[in-house]
Amino acid sequence: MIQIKGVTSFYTGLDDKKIRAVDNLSLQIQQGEHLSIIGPNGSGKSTLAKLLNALLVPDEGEIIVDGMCTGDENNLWDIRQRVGMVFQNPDNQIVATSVEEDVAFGPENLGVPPQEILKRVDESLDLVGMGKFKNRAPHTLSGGQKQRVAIAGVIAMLPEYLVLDEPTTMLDPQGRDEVLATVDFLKKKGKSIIYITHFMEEIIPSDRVVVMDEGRIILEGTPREIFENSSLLKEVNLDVPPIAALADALRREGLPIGRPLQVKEMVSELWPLLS
Amino acid sequence: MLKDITIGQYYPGESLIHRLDPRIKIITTLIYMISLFVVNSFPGYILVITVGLLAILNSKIPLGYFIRGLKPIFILIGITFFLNILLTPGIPLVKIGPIKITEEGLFLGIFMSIRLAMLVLVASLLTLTTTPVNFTEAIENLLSPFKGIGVPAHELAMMMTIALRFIPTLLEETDKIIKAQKARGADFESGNLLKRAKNIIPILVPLFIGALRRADELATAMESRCYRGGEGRTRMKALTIETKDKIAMAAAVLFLVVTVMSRW
Repeated sequence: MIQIKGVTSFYTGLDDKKIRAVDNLSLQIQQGEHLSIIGPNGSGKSTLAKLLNALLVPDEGEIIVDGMCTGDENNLWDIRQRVGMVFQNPDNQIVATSVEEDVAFGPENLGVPPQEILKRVDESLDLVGMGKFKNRAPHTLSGGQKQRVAIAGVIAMLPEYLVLDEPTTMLDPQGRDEVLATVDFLKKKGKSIIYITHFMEEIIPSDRVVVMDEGRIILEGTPREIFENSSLLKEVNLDVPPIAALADALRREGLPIGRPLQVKEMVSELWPLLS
Repeated sequence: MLKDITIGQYYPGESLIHRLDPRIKIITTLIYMISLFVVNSFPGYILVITVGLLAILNSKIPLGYFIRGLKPIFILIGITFFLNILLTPGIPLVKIGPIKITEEGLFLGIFMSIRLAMLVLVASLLTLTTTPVNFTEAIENLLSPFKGIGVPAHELAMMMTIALRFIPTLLEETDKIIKAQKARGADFESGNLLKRAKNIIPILVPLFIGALRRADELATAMESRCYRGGEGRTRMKALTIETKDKIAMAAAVLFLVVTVMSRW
């Protein structure tokens, strides 16, 4: 379990002004949970991500990862092994000159014995569907493939939690689908997923959603509950996904429609109305 | 046009040279380079050149790759050739006014050019038959005994790995920047040398800023994957010395002894 207790984090802006990126925020993340954190640019969600694996340390409050405080230097490497991070730009997180060497980078840093590393590399690459690309050079891969290699590199460290910080922002639609399918698969394998994004559609498969604005949590609930608050979402410049918006509009016209999130659900809502 | 740069290019293959341990390959290449400059007799030259060419043939890499590697130093070889011919004192062969070509000069010119060419050829052979991963690991391994006197073996190897990893990425970015600047009317083809050099600034500035941003993000990503230097690190694939490597090493030492002896 990750416990975030009243955390505030500042960053220094252009004219030496201290800006609150995260403002007195409290949150608990359970093991095995798929949590989405969504918010507009500058809402503090990326800062929150970096706080989770001690890349940043809170200025006020504390974060406890499985009983270890991120502020304590002695826990640093244990926490980073437990909380794996995938970043936005797939190019800037691949270190080695071949796919398998890059996946091996994390376990090598942890001092895992060679035999075990070989095993973990194969398993992680198979898990993200990149086993065939083992010997390829990273620059010959597509964006979506690179991002899957980055995910495999984190999985090979056997983390408890996987934090993905806007992993699809720089990808084309196909790459985006690849990454989302991979995340979905990992969720089924029982990994805890903390998915940070500003795309509303991408929060649909999660168990719980946290909406952030100006460093605070302004809304929390299941995806369905979140989309019910479309007016609040519009206030912070987040769009409700098209199907939810359509359902909203139809409901306003007096049609007895529930809260579908996907096309399939919408179809099964609409069919009965025809007969 | 930038795609032609072939630094650290690897040509996949299964030849004996390909399969040798990279450390042995680096050492034998160095030994060969020393021998190149040790020999001074005609039979010695023949021996050294034959051995070099045999190694190149063994790699089964198309000769075109080696010739491409030679291209940048053609001018250097040419200059060396003519300077040696013209400036070596000895028995004159031809004499045109103040210029005289001596027998010794002709020999020295030819052999100096061959030396330079062979030097580049075996260096290309080394990089063409060794994967970047193996190459950097061999460097780290060979330098690690000198850690005690402050040689940062691991850091150097890590820097090489990252450089090799990012060369294609940065080349791609350079191509993009050039196209973007051209689309805004930048002219990189006309004007004198000074003007053209100035025109490169709008390419270099965004490229450098981009590279620094990349470096910053990469460092964060490495830290979050528990990177903390070479201490306590393991490697997935450890290098191993096999019988063929020992034989290659012995052959190289014997070769060095023979070439040194050939001076007397």
